[in-house]
Amino acid sequence: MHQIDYHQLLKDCLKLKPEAQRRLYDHFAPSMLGVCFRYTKSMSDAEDVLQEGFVKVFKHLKQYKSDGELGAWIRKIMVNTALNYLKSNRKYQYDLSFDEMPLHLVSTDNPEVTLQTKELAELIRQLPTGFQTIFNLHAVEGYTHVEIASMLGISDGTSRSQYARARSLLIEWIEKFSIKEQDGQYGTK
Amino acid sequence: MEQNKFEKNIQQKLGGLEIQPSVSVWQNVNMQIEKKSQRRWKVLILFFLILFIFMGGYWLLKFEKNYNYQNQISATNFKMDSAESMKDSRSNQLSLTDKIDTSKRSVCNSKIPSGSNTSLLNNESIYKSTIRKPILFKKGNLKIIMEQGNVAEYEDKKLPAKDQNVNELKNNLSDQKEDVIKNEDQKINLDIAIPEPGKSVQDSMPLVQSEKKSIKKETNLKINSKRAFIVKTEKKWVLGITISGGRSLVGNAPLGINNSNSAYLTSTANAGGGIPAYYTPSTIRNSSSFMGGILVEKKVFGKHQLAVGISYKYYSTLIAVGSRIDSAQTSYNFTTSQNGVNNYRNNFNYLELPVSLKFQLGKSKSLPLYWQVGINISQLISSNALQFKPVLGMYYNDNSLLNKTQIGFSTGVFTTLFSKQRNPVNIGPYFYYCTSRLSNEGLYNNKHFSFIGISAEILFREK
Repeated sequence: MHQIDYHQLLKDCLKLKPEAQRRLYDHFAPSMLGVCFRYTKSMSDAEDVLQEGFVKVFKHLKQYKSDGELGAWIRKIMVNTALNYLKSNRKYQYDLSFDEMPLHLVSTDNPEVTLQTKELAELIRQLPTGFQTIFNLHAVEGYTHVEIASMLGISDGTSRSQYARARSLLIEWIEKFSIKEQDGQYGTK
Repeated sequence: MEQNKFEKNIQQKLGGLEIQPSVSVWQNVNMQIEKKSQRRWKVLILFFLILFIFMGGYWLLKFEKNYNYQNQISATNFKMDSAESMKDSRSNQLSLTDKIDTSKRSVCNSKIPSGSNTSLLNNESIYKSTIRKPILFKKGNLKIIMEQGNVAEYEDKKLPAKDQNVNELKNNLSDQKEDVIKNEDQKINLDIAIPEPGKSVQDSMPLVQSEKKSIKKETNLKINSKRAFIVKTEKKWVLGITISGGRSLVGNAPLGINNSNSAYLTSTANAGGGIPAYYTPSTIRNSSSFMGGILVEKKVFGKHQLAVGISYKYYSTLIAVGSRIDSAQTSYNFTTSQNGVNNYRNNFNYLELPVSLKFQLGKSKSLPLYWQVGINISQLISSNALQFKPVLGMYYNDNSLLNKTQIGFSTGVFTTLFSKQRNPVNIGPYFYYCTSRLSNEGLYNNKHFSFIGISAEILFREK
């Protein structure tokens, strides 16, 4: 990927130059759609979130302080937009109810993830929405459980518990998927 | 630490996940950004327009005040019944006499500063020639035309006795003389007679005394009605009704220009794929329109007027449709005009808040001419306008596609008939252009309403 002068690009975007806006979009859209894809259940929902997120990015570009990384700032907006989308969309609302659960012990298994990126993302999307969201926020984005709790309006205990369940479920699936892959590759005896 | 190995692995894998979005995402993003920037421009234009109107109004007001002030200065030249009587009473008088050049006006201010030379005026009356409205001199013969409210204030004040100093008075008066000279082009002759010590101003002003007698020591002296012609000015809000009739024009530009459905066809062509199996809507035709409402009008600065009101506005357009498909349905549904032509009238009913300024052109009083500019905010009350489904070739009713609030600008030239009567009528050609889009999608996508017609206002002045 060729080097982009973010400073100039930002300046041009703030001047509402259409070509600069397009360049900014083209540069970040694929990776941001990857983010949105992990939080939603369908590609069309992911694109909706991406669209809404980019409108916010252009609207609030003035608020961006150039001391941080632009990509990280846009990513944060995308994550927040995705969370709002999940909360406001009826399709996700039922799945997103975070019931208080007894603390689930985190599995100590650390399987080697041999899956391809897309396959792994697809597996994460198979998780129930609540698990999927918390797993994405903690394992991928790196938010702490306290931060997740405040973002989702739940207790940090719930966040921990949901994460532990999501993690063990995912490990189980990854192992199954890996075995299936191997069987498919070498044929079953 | 071991536990993090899995998370790190996941992070590494998913961090590089990139998916190319479809083209429509950028189109939608771009459309929304453009909308926002357009909205920003509209707000900015509106702001500057309002600013311009206010600044213009302020400037005119200031100009008017300056004009009045100069006239006030002129008016302080006391009108004497005759120059001879002035001459007779000249000795021992404090007076300001103008030798008015027949070709040029003299200007002087005869206000006696309060607090100065009070010893001279001990227990005496102070004559203040405060005249609030302009007095117009006609060809230097001291014939006065005054407006209502012109008064020469006459106050009885008990003032503390102090040592008098004639020189001080002289100095003060000469200072005044300098102050009142406003225009060097005007020839000014001030002939000030300083009263002798011990003699009061009251004693030295026979004209003032005679005035005083005539009004029986009232605080305010009204100028003799024989000498002053009173002109009533309308400073109050005047109620009126407004009626307009004409033609509503719809198009992408003012006056209904570029009334094609090209944008509509482009969007429908893109929506499908393969062979474009869609119908085209018939052209929207201009039709009749009218407005009616009440207004209140006020002279804000000089001869110019401000009017605000509330009106009902009716616009209509015509469209060719086919036969109705299902009469049982509450919403309208027609086929295209291919199945026979029927004219369908799309009605738009608005409630409007017009604010306008009228600037008088020329000085005619019998048939004054005004140029009007205004801003109108209207809200759609109801409509039966049809929209079009290109795939089915069907018209249907969907008001949710229409923009409910519209902002537009109006202009017109009016003349006032019966201007001296109780019910003057302002009548003239009127043009209105709505800057807001009628709709952002559908059959009226990007179209604007215009109106051209005749407007009339009937005002109801109080007695």
